[in-house]
Amino acid sequence: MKHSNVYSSVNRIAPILFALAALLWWGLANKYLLYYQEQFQLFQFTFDYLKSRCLVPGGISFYIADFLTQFYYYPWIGAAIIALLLVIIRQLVFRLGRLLKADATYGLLSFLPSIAFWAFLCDENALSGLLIGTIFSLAACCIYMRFPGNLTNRVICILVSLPVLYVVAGSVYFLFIAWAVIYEFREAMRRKEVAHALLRLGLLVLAGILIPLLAQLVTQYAFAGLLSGIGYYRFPQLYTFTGLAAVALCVATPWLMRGFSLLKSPEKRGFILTLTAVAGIGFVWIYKAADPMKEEIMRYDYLTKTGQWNAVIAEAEKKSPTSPLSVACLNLALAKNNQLGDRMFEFYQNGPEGLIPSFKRDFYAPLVSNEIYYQLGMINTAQRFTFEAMEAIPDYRKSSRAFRRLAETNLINGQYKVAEKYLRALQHTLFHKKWADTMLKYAGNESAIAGNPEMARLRKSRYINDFLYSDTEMEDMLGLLLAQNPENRLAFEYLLGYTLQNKDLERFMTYYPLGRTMNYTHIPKSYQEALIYMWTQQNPNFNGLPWSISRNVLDGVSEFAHIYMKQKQPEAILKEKYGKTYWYYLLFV
Amino acid sequence: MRKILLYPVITAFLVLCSCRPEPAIRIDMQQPAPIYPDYTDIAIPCNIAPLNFGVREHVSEVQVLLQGETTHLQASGKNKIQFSLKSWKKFMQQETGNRVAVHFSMQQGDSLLNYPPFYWQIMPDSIDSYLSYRLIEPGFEVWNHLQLEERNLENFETRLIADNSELDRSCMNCHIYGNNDGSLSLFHIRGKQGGTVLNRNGELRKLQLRNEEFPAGAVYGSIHPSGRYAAFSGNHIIPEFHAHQNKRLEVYDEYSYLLIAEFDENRLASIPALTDKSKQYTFPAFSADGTQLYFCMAPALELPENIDSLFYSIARINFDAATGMPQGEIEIIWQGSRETGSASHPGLSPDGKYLLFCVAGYGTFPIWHRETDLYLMHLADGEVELPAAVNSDRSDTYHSWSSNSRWFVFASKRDDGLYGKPYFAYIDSTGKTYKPFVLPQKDPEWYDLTLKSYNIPELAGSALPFDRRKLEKVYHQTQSETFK
Repeated sequence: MKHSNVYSSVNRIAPILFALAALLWWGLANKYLLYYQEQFQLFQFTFDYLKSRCLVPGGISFYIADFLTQFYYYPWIGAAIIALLLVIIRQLVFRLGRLLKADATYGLLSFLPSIAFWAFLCDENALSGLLIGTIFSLAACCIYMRFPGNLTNRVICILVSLPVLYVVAGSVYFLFIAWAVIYEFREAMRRKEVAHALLRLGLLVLAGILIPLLAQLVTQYAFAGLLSGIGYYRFPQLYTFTGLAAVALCVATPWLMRGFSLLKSPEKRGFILTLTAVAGIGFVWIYKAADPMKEEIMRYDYLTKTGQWNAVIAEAEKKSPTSPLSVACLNLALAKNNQLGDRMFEFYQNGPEGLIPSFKRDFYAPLVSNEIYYQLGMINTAQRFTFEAMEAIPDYRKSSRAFRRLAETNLINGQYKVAEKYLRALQHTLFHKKWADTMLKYAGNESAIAGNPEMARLRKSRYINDFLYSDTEMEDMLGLLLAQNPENRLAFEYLLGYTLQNKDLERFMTYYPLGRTMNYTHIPKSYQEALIYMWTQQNPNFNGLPWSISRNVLDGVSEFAHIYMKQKQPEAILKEKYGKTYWYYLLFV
Repeated sequence: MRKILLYPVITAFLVLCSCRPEPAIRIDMQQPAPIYPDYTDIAIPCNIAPLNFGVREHVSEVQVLLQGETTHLQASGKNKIQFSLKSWKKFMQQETGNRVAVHFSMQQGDSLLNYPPFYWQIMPDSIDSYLSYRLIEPGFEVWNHLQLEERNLENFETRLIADNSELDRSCMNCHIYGNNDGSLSLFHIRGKQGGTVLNRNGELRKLQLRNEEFPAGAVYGSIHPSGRYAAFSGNHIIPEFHAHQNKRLEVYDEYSYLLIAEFDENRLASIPALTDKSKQYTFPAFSADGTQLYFCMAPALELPENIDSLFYSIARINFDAATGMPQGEIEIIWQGSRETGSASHPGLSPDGKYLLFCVAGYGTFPIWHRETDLYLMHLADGEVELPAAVNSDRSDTYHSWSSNSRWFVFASKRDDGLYGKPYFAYIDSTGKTYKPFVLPQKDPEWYDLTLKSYNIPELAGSALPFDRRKLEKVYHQTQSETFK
């Protein structure tokens, strides 16, 4: 077999392998990022939604991207979509290279833009509208390249493509302009028509700026936004290096392929070098782009919002979470499984914020925190956090997850008309419709709500009397919640957990007796540790101990105290043996 | 030859397509037509845009016949009635002053359901043609996308007059007119480049209505009929959140005062009676002739502990347009108390006959008080009435009069308790009020889909002489004028 045939075969097989790699990466390693993305949009099959998305330059790309993103609800489908988009980009870039008469030996270079887009998508704020817009622009470049020897046809192609592409793809149409500029400049220079080359360059750049200027008249956006693009990143008009590099590589790579093809180096060496370079760049770039800490939060958050309490605990047992939001999810899972008092300090704790996070002006953190307030029965706070999170989404989009939670909180609060409003919007979606149909049956139906275990529990767990809620007095808020609903065991555990995390043992001792009616089979371990600690502060021995403290805890506190008193630097020793006790948290964390 | 054959075929096809299957059963329903918005038995101005409406039931067709005294108008649709603007205008012109019977029916399966007619009284008194409002999601503390919009009430045209996405995402307060005139208006933009934007005959100025003497700046305002002055309350506002299921947000003032801004010489001034620290002052409103300044006033209490004991009264003081200052004694014209409630948003009718105001159970933020109702005071004798036809069991708050004093618009949360919408009510020459109707939309489903509340709806007889581009230029390119 000739070498050129081998390379052609490689160029045919490589996209399949690349797609497979992307599928596995997004479907297995990064699937929680897909869930994350899906929740920050609400794709509705309504004319209003279509209109609202398409009234922006690039709106058609954004609409298609939204349509595809809704499938991230099922991560394997989402992974397949991303893999497909990346491969389409690669194929178009490869095609452009071949149209420039680049050698197939360097065909693997055409993966560079797709690798860059892969890395771009690892950013949780990256939107796939950029990929769709790029595909349209690359397709336009391919069409334009069909007229290599015919200036008139190329000019017609440019005149038609520019406005159409701006409407369809938005400001990523500069990719097409850049391509045409380079090609036209080169064509003119080949004929040594310098003035002509500069004229073509100037006209194309002028046209590129003129269209956003005209768009300003018919859209609500300012020129800067229309020039730089609006819907490619969750923060409008903000760019990341990776996103820009990905688009730039789409233009540069075909020329790079051609440039290498002109070198007289042996084919085999060129191929191996290309393969090594592309694989190396791809590995490093994607590895660097992934953020395990963010992925951890997204994983814990997803498992929490879907009520997979055992899975949350299992994750923590594999590796204790370290970010406040993940810790908060873990603590909720422990509480839901009646393990908070027993196991809280088995895992890393970062104080009260890791138990019940306060409000932050952000579009994600309050959405995660709302789960805790919701489960506790602080329905109004859960609603506020959810509403504020959605309101803070930088690109003004709506959130399917927020809509669901707002519908739930309003149903629980008996605000049926408001709940119906959210549910009706969800009925226009593909994957939330069924849920919305089911939930609509609860609107105004008191007996149905009473028959729903979760809604009935949450209705019972709520505050009964009105007062002005205070974020800064969380202990009082939990105390009131418990006082108004003495059967709310979750509130009791959070109240005690809060005092423990706050290292306020006096308040712990005040609230502890409230647990008598909570049907505990034993005193949870961390409570035992706190009780015995308090006892040892005032008593020389365990005689007369009023609580049923386990032998292990009694022995433990003696040894802990002994090491603490006798060792000069006890922390390291105690961390080894007692790092998962409340005593260690109390004295060293 | 082929063409000759083709024409009858096409004609036959069109005829067949246009034929509707006759319903097998006709049922005369007893209950009212299940339409939304609720446009049953209302009074409407002769110049209003078409009152499109729909049904939420699964139906194959809805039909309506507007039977007037001289003519009629028919329309149909899948599940919405959307009148043609041209036919509507013609119909309204011919039926002005008449009572129109609205016959509504809908086809469900094989059945044609005929509902009892409801009625529209087409009032010859027109309403001011323009409505401005702020579009905002009814959140708590966080705001993101705010827009000020102007709507032509005679059709469905809307025009953005400000969009905070192009104004550094700054908070924008609501837009108010002077004399119901588009050429005299103002609103505040917050943020580092913000200021109060004053529109006088299309000339936009950005004003810094704050100085050392008045640190809380200018918040709620009213423009004097001369256009030279405006009265503002300066409020240091604190938001709090309710824990209870049916309540959402409570807002109160840590301190507040009233001030007068003079726009020719850029002066801010007040008098001791309106800056007394032992009292709270808010919601100033000039009378139509500009000789009196109305406002709400309450004793300053320790808050938020005593928030449910905070009751605002309505007071007034004379205003001297020559000096630009309030004068004389403060007169309480409506006493706030635990029994009567707490007043806010006094609004004087242009003919000087009425004072419309909101009454909530307590406090100074009626929009989140479900119990808030509109009250009407007859200024001639001070008699106060609760116009039952107008109010609902949800908050009915901010209002604005039409120039002819026959219509007023107010923000009501009556439909779902959360999202405020502009409702229009008629008041006849005897002071009788009529059932209000919501601002008509081209697509009646609009209110189901939108997540925006309509804040501070204000009526004006003419369009605003600026657009958002001009405003953005003023915001970004001009320095705020300082006030002494």
